[in-house]
Amino acid sequence: MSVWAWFLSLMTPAVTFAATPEAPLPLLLDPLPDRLLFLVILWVFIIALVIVLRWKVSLADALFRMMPLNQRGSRKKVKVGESNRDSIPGPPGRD
Amino acid sequence: MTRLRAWLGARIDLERIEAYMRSKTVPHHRHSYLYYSGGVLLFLLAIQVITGTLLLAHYRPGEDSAFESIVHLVSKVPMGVYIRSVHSWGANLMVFFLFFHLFSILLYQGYRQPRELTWIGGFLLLILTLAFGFSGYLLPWNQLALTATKVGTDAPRALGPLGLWFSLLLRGGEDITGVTLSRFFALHVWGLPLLFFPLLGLHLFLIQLQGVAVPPGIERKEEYSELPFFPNFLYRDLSLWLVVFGLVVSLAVLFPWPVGEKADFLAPTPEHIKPEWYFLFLFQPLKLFPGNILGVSGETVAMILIILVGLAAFLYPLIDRGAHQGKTPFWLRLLPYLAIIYFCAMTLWGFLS
Repeated sequence: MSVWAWFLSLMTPAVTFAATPEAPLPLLLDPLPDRLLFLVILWVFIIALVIVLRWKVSLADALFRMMPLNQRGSRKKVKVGESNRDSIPGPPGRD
Repeated sequence: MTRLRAWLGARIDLERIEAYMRSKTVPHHRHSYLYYSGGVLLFLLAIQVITGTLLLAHYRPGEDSAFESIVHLVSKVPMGVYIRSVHSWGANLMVFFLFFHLFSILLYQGYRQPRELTWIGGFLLLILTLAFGFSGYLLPWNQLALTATKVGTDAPRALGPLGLWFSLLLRGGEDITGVTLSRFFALHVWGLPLLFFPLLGLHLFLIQLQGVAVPPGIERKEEYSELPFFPNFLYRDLSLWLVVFGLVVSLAVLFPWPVGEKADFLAPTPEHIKPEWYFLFLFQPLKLFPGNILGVSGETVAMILIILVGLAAFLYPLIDRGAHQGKTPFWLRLLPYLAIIYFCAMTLWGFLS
């Protein structure tokens, strides 16, 4: 079961068949254990990626804090009632 | 890579783009988490476009083919049931995050000068998203969709000749037929995107131009800093997108979207019929209005009220004109909280009743 299977399915002609409302409609579902296993693998993968991204965030934030203030000052923002002004006080110590 | 960069650099001003990316910042303060909802919406929109395109490969609009093509999709096509479920769950999550986005901006007065147009554009995007939901709901051509669309397209008729005209325009006749399905399909895959994407482009352009707003209290006390968008904010955004992706896929895998029974014009209306959860805040008050108010139909009064409240919300930045100077009247400061309470209460009530 993969995305490739989906793309291959595009080559199969659409089949018209009479649906019988009385009978329960078949869903082409994998068995529940297979689906749960897929979800476990998916979430392990997602959590691993999020951990890597958190580490990248910490690194990027640390680099930003080490940057001299005059270099950070090139960043500008719109403030109501004023034209663009140079920022910035240092970032708070939290994410 | 270097050669590709040089080739592109000779044609596009890459340095200017890079300079812009380096200078782009996002305010960083204790309520910064509210800024992630916009990014999540863009991510969910991408999921909708991709899954919608895949569904189009198998879906065939038409009174005699729409339902059959859905049955074929979920019973014969590999991954078909999951792709369809991701599309349906993705749509629901998108509307959820849209309301979260709207209410958060309302609470921290992100609409205040100079961002009025961003609010107005964003509100139109909300209306269009709800229209996507409404038009997409009929496409599987099942009994529930038929009945819900009948109720939904009946509602404007309470507004007199103009409402009747609008209802007939949507349905393509007195009743819901294959013509209605064709119209809704055309709207869903062509008409609405034609309006939605240019408007979204304008919305994003305005955000790039003006930056995101800082809550007034935090701005006054200058209790914030600026965080680089690339890569500091983007990494945070990506983390959340991954979690949202996991959520959509989990919902689709554990709770596949039902197919229902084929639409039958002669079948009785299903019991306890109600619209999708995101229309309940409009549907529930209709049930509360008495049949007749001072000689006018209660439904008509309710519809007029809904339109007036919608119009006020649309033009809200022009009502709260003192917001940028911190001069919002007390009753206007209270209004966003009342709106949130009303929305949650009506949705919950409608869902449980």
